[in-house]
Formats: sequence, C-alpha cells, structure tokens
Amino acid sequence: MASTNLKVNVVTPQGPVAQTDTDAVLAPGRMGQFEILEGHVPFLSELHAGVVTLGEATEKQHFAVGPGFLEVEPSGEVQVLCEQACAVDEIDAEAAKAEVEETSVKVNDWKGALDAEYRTLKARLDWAQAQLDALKISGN
Amino acid sequence: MASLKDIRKRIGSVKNTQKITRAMKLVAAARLRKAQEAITAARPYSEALSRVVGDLAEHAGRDAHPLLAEKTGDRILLVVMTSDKGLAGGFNAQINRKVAELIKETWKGKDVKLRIVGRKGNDYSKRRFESNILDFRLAPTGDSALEFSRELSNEIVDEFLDDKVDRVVVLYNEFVSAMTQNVTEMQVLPVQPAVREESEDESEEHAGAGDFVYEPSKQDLLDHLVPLAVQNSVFKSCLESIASELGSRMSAMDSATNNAGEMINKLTLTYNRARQAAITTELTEIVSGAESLKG
Repeated sequence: MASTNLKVNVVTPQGPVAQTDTDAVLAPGRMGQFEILEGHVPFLSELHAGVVTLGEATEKQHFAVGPGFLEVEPSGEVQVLCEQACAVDEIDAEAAKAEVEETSVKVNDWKGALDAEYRTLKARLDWAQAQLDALKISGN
Repeated sequence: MASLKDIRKRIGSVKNTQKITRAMKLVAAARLRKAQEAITAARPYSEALSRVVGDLAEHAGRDAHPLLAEKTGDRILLVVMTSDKGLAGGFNAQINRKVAELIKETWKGKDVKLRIVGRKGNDYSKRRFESNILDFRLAPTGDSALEFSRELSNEIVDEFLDDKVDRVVVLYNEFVSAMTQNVTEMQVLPVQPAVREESEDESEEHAGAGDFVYEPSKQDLLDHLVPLAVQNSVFKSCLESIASELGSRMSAMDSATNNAGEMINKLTLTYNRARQAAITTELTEIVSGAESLKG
C-alpha cells in the first residue's frame, strides 16, 4: 500500500475541484511536466494549460487544468490554483473537440499582432486541448 | 366617479401586475442564491493569487513588471459594470450617477475613456458622454463571466501596455446584502499588490518565504501571474455585479408586490363603497316608488 501523505487541493475561481490525500502530483509547468512527491521543499511554479495527475502508485485522478500556479506550502500541503479545472469524467469530449477544431484553424492562420484577441483565442484553444489530452491520458 | 365595471377592470390589471412582480422576485431570489455561492466559491482562489502576487512583488519591487508600475499621466480608463435589463431598483441608476460625478467633478479635466458593460449603462452614457465611450458589450452571466473577464482583461492589459491609458478603474456594485449594494471603484491597473499584514510571527514567516524554490524564476512567475491577477479582479467585479443586480431586483420587486397589494386593497374598498351606494340608491327608488303607489 502506497502512502498517501500528500495533501492536495485543486482550487479554481469556481470553487474547489478536488481535495484529496495522495502520493504524487504530476503537473504541467513552463518547461514540461514535473512531479511533486511527499516531503518536497516549499515551491512555487507556473502552471500552464494541460493535465494534472494526482496519484502514482495509488489510483490516479486526471484533471484538465487552465493556467495558474502550483504551490508547495512549508507544511507540505500542495495547492493547485488554476483558472479552470475539470475532472476527466466531467469533460464534454464533443464540445472540446469542436472547440479545438474551430480555434486551431484561427490560431494557425493568425497573421496580425499577438494582441488581446489572439490571447483570448489561444486560451480557448489551450483549454479545449487540455481537456482532450486529459481524456487521452486517462484512456477514455 | 368611475363606474363599477371600470374599478373591477383596474383591480384585475393591478392583480396581473402583482403576479408578474411576484414571479420576478422569486426568480431573482433563486438566482441570487447561486450568485452568492459563486462569490464565496471564488474567494479562496482570489486570496491565494493575490497573496502570491503580493509576495513576489514585494521581493521583486514594483518596477519588476510593467503592469505593476505606476505611471504619471492622467488618462483613465473606466470600466462601468451595469446590467442589460432594468426593473432592478437603483442598481443601474446609482452606477450611472457615479459615472457622471466622476467625469464632471472628480476627474474633471482628465482624459477619461469608458468601456461600458451592460445595456443600461450604455443607454445612459451614450447621450451624455458619447465621445468618451470606447466600447460597449453586453453584461455577462454567471456562466460566461470567466470567458468575459478573460477577454476584457486582455484588452485593457493591451491598452495599458501600449501606453494608451495610465490607470484602469472598474466601477461596479459591490454586493453587501439583498438590500444594500455599494458602488465601488476598484483600480485594476497598475496592479496594487496586496500588502502583507503585519503579524507577530512575521520574521518566521519571512524565513519560510525565503526558502521557497521558484520555478522557472520570480520574474517569469510574475509575467505569468500578474495578467491572471488582473483577470481575476475583473472576474470578481463581474460576480459582485451579478449578485447585486439580482439582490437589487429582488428588493425592488418585493416592494412592488407590496405596493400592488396595497393598491388592490384601496381599490376593493372603493369598489365596495360604490356598489353599496348603487344598492342604496336602488332601494330608495324602490321604496319611494312603493310609497307613491300606496298614496
């Protein structure tokens, strides 16, 4: 039995999404994925849109997340704070797929400056992509 | 004096109005609960974000990020949060009054631009301050608030960074209770980092903060988080404004329902009196008719 001494909170502006004890957190940072295990030093990292996985030896829970940050508190608790988060079984695959198709065309054809409109569009694409990735990773 | 039929008609129409206001009140009350929950749910995220940004800004200094830096100019962008629909008591009126006060008095002589949210604010300002209006959009709902604030904050960040404005202020109704909403001005840009509260174990806390490992670096973290903080402020004002609108509508419709009830009572009294008068007249006629036959 793997230990589950890592307290994790996943919090969004819509309220807490998950609060659980687990053994590991895998999260998307700027330079790719990183993993937090029990006893990590106090730590603050960017979080980019992608998939957060709670648990390694224990049962895994996957979440699609938006941009935000991850903090390991001096007490050892892990706070995952992001603009959006969604457990994998609550994702609407069809809607996410349609969103990716719609926005990726626009993002790829973008000619103008990287202004507010582009960033808004990119955020939509990233979030929809994160949801699809989460589905893929969880094997649904 | 109005005929019996007229009075009956009026009572009927007031009753219909009362039904509508009562229904609006109930709908507003149900949605208000949801809106209040949304405000409470947003608090932990908001607090954590402003704490982290405050800490980073404290370590890095205010010049560390362009969105934190104070500018010297006088150009102000005012984001005005109103609703699309009326019948919400003083909700929109008090915001519009404040807009006029700010432009004509408080910020007189300054270059004020308006970004208006909600049809009611637009209807008002269009006639008075048309040259100040930069753009208008419909009010967000609870579900669209996140996307709405992302879009709006991206735009105001661009305007601030392109040096088109020196300050961005959001004007919205802060939700206190269903009865009370406070008109609030909140400066979103430059971002004012939360000041850490002086506490006794501060030294200890500071020592803890010093041990933090930052990934990738404090500067990169600021670049990533400050725009999120701006977006979150806008998001927060949206939620407050939505709850205030519903609260205000609920109280307004509650008193409208009460007033309609009073009116119905008064009309019923008039109706009964008129009916009684008609009966009395009729009786007098019959009696006097009978008397004359006897004679």
